[in-house]
Amino acid sequence: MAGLSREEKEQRINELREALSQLEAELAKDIEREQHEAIDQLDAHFDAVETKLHNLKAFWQTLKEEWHK
Amino acid sequence: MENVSQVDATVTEANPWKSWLLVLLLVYLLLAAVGAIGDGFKSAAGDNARELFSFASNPFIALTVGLVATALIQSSSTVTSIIVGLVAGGLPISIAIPMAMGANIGTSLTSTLVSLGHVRNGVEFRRAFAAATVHDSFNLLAVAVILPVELIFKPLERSSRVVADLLVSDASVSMSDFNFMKALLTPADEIFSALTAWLPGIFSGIALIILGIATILFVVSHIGKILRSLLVGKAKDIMHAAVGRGPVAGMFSGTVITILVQSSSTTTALIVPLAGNGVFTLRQIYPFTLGANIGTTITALLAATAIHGPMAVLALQIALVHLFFNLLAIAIIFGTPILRSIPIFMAEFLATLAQRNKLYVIAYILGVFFFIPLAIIGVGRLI
Repeated sequence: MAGLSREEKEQRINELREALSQLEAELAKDIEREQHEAIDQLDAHFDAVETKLHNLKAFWQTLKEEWHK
Repeated sequence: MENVSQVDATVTEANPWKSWLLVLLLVYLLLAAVGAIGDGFKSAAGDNARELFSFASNPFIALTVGLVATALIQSSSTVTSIIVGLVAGGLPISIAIPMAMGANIGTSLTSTLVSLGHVRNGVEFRRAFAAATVHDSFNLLAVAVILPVELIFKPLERSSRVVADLLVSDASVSMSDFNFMKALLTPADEIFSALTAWLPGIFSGIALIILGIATILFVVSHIGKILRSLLVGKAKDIMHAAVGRGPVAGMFSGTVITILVQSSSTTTALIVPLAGNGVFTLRQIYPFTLGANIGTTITALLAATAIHGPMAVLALQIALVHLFFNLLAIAIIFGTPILRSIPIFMAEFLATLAQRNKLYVIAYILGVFFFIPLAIIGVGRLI
């Protein structure tokens, strides 16, 4: 790396920046794809508001288990 | 519970037009119930409405009444509709404003309870709890910022009065002295009155209030279930359209979904599992929950259309106060970069504590939604 000329270093930095931008764009696409997939599964969560009692029971159970440890 | 929901969904899919007719009937019942509360309160309190609510003339007590009532009923739409009915019956607007603000805080308990379902997985629970409490934190901060300003300068009371005056006078002119809503609601008003008129003195008015509240509870619970089944596909489309488009699109989608399902609790509870599994970040969830705050104000606006006569302006005014309060809170807190991050920091701090020890969760829920508000009422009564 130390043997590279100034122009070669600048070119290398530009290449790395471009690769980084590409990688970031790909990552953003992956995240958005995952988000679209999660939204497609929304039916499972649409009645979450109706399961509050179940959630409280689960929480209470966990609390008791942690308390006994 | 899941089986019942699946049956509801199947019935809705098979007969969507029947479901929409049922929605219309329930909206009609909601409007009639709000009118019944107004009439009942007027009949029971007469000219003593202010004295009757004198215990809540301290704005902090009024705030906690709205908060605790909403936390217990688990529906801000119900509480704000009741407030609209009470204002129509003579409840002073200065008491009703902090009550509506309290309802805003109380409604965020639902998503917090939903987040408890993720308790088995530590990291997932932390993310879900943060997504739920970012809503609480924002609503608490909104009241902390806006209530003192309102008490001194009354920007919400004044601006809502101006708009209500404009809207009510426009509506009466356009209808050429024929009040469509009054004509539409008269049969239901007569049925409600007939059911309670046999009771002596103020008891008929009290019974009318209780009947109205019970009807609103029934309507809000059932309309939510039906609309959820009918509009799940539409909600997905709206959320798909908002992905990757920034906070304004997120806020807009939260608003529209809440208007469609008539419940901010449903909207915020919906987003908690999506945050819990890590697909959406807290910063992406945050504007969506603020949209739910705007969307939920539509129910009180709808309820205000049930009120006719001289109290129509005041009923619309308190409904507009609820809308303006939420818009102003978003403009001030979300619009200011320093303030915008405070609810996120608060939510992350609470979630870290909750993951460390579950007792913090109990302390938080009981403290914020019940013990501290009740202590405020107690201290307020002593002063």
